[in-house]
Amino acid sequence: MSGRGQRMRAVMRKEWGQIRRDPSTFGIAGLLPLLLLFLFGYAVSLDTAATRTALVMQDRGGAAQRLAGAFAASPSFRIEPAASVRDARDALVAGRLRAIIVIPQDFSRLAARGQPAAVQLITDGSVPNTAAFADGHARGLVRQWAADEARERGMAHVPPLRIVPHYMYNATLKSRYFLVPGAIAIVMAMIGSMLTALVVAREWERATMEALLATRLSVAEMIVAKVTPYFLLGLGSMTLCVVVAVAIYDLPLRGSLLALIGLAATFLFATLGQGLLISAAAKSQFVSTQYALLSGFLPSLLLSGFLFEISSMPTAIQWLTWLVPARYLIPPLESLFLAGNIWGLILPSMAALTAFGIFFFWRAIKSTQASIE
Amino acid sequence: MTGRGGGLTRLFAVMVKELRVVLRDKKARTTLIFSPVVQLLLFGLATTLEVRNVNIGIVARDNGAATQALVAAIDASPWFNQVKRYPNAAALRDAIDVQAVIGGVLISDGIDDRIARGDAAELLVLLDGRRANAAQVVAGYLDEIARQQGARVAAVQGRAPIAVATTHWFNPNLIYLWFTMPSLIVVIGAVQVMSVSCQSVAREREFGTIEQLIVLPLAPWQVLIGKLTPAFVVGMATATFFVVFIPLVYGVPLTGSLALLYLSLTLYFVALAALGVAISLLARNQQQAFLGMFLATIPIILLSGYASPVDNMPGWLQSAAWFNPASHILTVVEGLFLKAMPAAAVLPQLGPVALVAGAAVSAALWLTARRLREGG
Repeated sequence: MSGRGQRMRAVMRKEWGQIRRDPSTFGIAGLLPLLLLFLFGYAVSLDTAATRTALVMQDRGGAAQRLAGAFAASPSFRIEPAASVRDARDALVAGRLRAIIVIPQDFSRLAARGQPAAVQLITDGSVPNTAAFADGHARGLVRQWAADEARERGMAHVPPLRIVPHYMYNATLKSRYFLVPGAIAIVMAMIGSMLTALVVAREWERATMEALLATRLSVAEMIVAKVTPYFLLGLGSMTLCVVVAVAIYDLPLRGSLLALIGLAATFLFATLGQGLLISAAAKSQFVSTQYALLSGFLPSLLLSGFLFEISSMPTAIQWLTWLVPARYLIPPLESLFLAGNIWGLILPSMAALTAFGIFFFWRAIKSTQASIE
Repeated sequence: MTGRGGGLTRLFAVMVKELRVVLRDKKARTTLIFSPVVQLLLFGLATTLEVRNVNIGIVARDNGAATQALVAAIDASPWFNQVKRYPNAAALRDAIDVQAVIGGVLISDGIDDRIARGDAAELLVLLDGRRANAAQVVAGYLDEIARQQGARVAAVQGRAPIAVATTHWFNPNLIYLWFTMPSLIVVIGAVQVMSVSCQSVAREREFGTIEQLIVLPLAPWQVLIGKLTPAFVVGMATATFFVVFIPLVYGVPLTGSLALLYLSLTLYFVALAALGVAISLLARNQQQAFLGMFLATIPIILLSGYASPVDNMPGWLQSAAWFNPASHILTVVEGLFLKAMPAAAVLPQLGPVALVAGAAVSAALWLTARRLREGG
């Protein structure tokens, strides 16, 4: 019994020695998370900046001038004057501008008489997000401007019914608050499956797997011994991510550390298992990384509810999302950062991830056994 | 004459050999073909910015006419799946906590009286800030419903409204897929080209077959072209697959010149393949090459403007994005698909790409020459 424990420790030591000899393993566990967190913290921002917009004034009346002033003062638009729509069109095609605002000829006259008047907005629909934001901001701005004008004439008008939104746990709507926990989940999904996929595939590729299996360990013991160092390495990168999130991105950590570690450990259990299964199926490092990208990284990015609402997807895809481990990590992880220990989210997620892990490890052990027989 | 002809034959032989190396392995071949197909489907079906079928809560104690009308309007809205009733705000908060609903409307007592009196009334809406993006969209839906309901009970007096008449050029219905699909050529193309080129030399080094290359009578540039070939071919094949199937399957218009598109993609893939080969020459084994590939590919994709517009980034990152070939190619590909972008707008974007391609090819050539000189 103790001989077996010794042999398992020997495999772990050997694996750890291999990790230490090649700094790229630390690169995957350390550099990659840092780079991804940096990019999700700074480069990916859903807080829209000022839209580069041309302003075509076909009317020089007082109301038109005042409205133009309101657009120029708005932080949502960066206004450049343009002589005509035709002039601005080329810049829109080239992507230098994203929108054109036209204040039409008799705008001031109609507005002064209290007749319906319209401002024209042309957007670059090839960038739908920016176009939708520009549309929303222009409507809000014109509505506010019209209300201000009316108030000055003593015709104040408040809509009879309106909503006052209150955003729980993220009152100022920082996109970082949900991008960073999501990015951590993606990082963990990627390195979890990548680490084991590469490592075990390398053993197959170099035909050293057979040598390892010739030791008197069972397949299951060998796999556990081999994966343990990577499990610890994964926990290390999770810690790194959490430290960066709190220290650099100022995310609150309102849940308990214990819950966080428990959640991270079960998630790693599932993704390391996924990596093992991938490498057992692929048996070459190139194919393994392709599988890991396809089954680990991409679904975590697209199907986890991180960037795209699952409820808006077609039903078949919604079913598919239940098979993506990151889907179970993101809601409790976001909650641990922003809200606190919401056990109603944490415990079911941990149960699901554990089930995934057991399944993946079981399949990996089975297929490794089949390969050596 | 014969010597030059022999050089060309030899170059061609090297290109074919390198391509065979990549496509020889059946599993590798399958994944290279399979992965763009899966991604085309997955991205096409999963990437939507709409928020639909979400559950919403309502807390209403009195049941006057205005409340009933409001609840009915929320119920009838196409955006919500279930409209759930909660007895009080605390119960609603608990439901939001476990994400049973994305938010809820608190209809205060006496709202009917206020509206009947002609006073302005406000509805407090609690939303899940952990899902800030979707929550904002839902707030927009609810605001619209409230305005319409308000307008129905109290006719708006006074001036005619000043409206905004919006036209979305190039994509009148703002279909998000029309943006996502052409960008896939840039994003998936980059992933495919980088994953093939980064392995090119690293694998030979790991298997010790690099010596064979060194003993062949080939000039460094011939070796380099050989190494660039498979990644370039895989990239072009992937791009062509997308160019054919995106209009066919998803109905995205392809309005621009194909010649300009392929010219741009050629420059782009040469730049990426050369970058990948350079990384591969620096790596000591496949794992290092993979790390290098990720460290290069992830910024190329995330700084391209695909995930979020370059305009949203801080100024210093926007400057860095100028050196990213993907950011220019994204503008060009979107422009050639949707905007019939003319050459006069395309060519200025290709300048920086050509610059990066030149630098990457020079670096790769220098590293190849060094490797051939020094051996594996």
